[in-house]
Amino acid sequence: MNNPEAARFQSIGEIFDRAVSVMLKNFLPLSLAYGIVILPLRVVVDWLNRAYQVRQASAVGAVITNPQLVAQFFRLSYDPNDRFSLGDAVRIALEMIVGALAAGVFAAVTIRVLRGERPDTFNAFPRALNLWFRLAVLHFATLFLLVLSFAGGVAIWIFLWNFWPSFREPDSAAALTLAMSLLLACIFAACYYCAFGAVAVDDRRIGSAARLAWKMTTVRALRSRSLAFGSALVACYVIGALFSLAVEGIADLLFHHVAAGVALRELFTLEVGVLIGVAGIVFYLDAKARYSAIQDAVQNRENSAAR
Amino acid sequence: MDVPQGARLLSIGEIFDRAISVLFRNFLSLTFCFGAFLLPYSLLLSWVERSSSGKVFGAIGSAIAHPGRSTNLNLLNPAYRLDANAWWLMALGLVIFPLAGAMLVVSTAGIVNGDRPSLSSSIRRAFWRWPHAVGVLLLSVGGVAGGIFTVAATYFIWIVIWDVTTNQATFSDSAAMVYVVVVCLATFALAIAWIPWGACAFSAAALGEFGVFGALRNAWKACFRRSIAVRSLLFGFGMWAIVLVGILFSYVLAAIGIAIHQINAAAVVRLVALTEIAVFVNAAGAVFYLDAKAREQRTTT
Repeated sequence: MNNPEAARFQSIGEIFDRAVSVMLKNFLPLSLAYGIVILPLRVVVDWLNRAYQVRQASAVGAVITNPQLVAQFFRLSYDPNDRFSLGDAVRIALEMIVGALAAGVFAAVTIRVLRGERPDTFNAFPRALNLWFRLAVLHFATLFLLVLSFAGGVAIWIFLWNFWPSFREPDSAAALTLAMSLLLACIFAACYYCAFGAVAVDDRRIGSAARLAWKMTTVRALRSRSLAFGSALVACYVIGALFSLAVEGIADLLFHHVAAGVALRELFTLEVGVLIGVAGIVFYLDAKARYSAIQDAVQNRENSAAR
Repeated sequence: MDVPQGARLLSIGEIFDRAISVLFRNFLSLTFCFGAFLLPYSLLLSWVERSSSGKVFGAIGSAIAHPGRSTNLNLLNPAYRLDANAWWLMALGLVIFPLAGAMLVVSTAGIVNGDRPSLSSSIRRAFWRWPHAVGVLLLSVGGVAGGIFTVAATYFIWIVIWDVTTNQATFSDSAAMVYVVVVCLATFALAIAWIPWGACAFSAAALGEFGVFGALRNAWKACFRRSIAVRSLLFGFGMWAIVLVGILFSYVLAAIGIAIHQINAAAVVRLVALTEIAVFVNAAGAVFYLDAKAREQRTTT
């Protein structure tokens, strides 16, 4: 399938099949394309968070050797003196900015792979640098939208709090926050990848990409499909996070070295990121083809009516 | 989906797609098929284990409200022992659920082949194959448990022999860690392999194509031929991943109910979610079996 845009429509399962197959066949180039930028960043971030890494590694190791401690995992890895500070906010912003460059390089290499061309990581850099600003803006815009939607959810909770006594407990707030986060992640995942694809693959501007992504994922015929894809991505992420913790714990037990566990966890997380990224780009190409087909059908119907 | 009917072979993603599509298009009938067995069983379970259920729900509610008290959420309390009631309930489940699973397999096979099997015909057909389904389930679980035990015992004996021959302290801390890791990895690998093997054997027995041992033998051949083994393992991994995420999400939904003090609503949500997961698992297993059979026929011809 040399031209990914000329392929037949794919179901969600086929998109993941394709992503797994593309990832396995181009394991090294895709890992290199994503890892060359993201891994140094992760090394720095993990070093800055080294106290937390040690606590987490010992908690994971304790849970693997004694599964009865699984319920105490968060207590074991949690530091009550640790508070969110301005430094943390700056670090997250830096991660998003550097992550945008990594995503640009990765998208350029992935689209070459999907077109059947030879992947070339270093030649992807100029294009990624060209897209960097737009992708960083897209990351921040997505974060802003998530925060905004979350604030809307909190407003709904306050409304319910006034009329339903059950909602006046702190546990209801915690449970609703968790449910809302999951739901928002499922809803926004498909839209984010469509906007990302429109910027990184088709070189669109931010506003145009966001509008197109919204239309591509919220057309009535495609709405449930977008939600299903978003849920599948969230599920992939959850499973990836669980397995990366297991990998870290096993490495920690085998090598008795926190750094070995963290390194293996980061490599595993990198591969999960590669899989999710490839699936996102394949989904974008498929969604674009579907949206074009819907647009063509509407245009034909309007032309017929006009005649 | 047999090859003679002209359908193409399915990839793993398409198998899951097909199972989800079968589930959504026949939501009520399939949910009723399984729910009719799960609901009375769950009610009985909830009633028999009412004291421990209350404790678990209370602990979840407390941990959500006060994360600092997550130590209370010790569901694997070492003091807890399975009593006679729990063993009877487990035995009852092992007898009842193969019948429900066989009904789902029969219904799914009919739907995939383009029929619309009635509930009564599915029940009748599943009922006659029930003992075979129970036998396959018990033997496949026993086989995997035996595999894990064999790995654990072999490795244990090897460590003891190694320690004795090298005059080291028997079972040092590091050796114990490695032992735990090896047994965990073996359990993980065998659990993944069990899914395609068990699904194929169970479906073959439920559809009446083989006896208990024939189903297990043919399922092994259909799943672990050299050309198809990786695919089967991928299917097993995918099924575990979907079930794990499904159960996590069902508990998150139930936790919301607990948090707003609607315990009954939480129990209903959890029950419905678990029913749908079970329906999906059986439907995906049946589709995987039909696809594996079609592949085997194609290879033979």
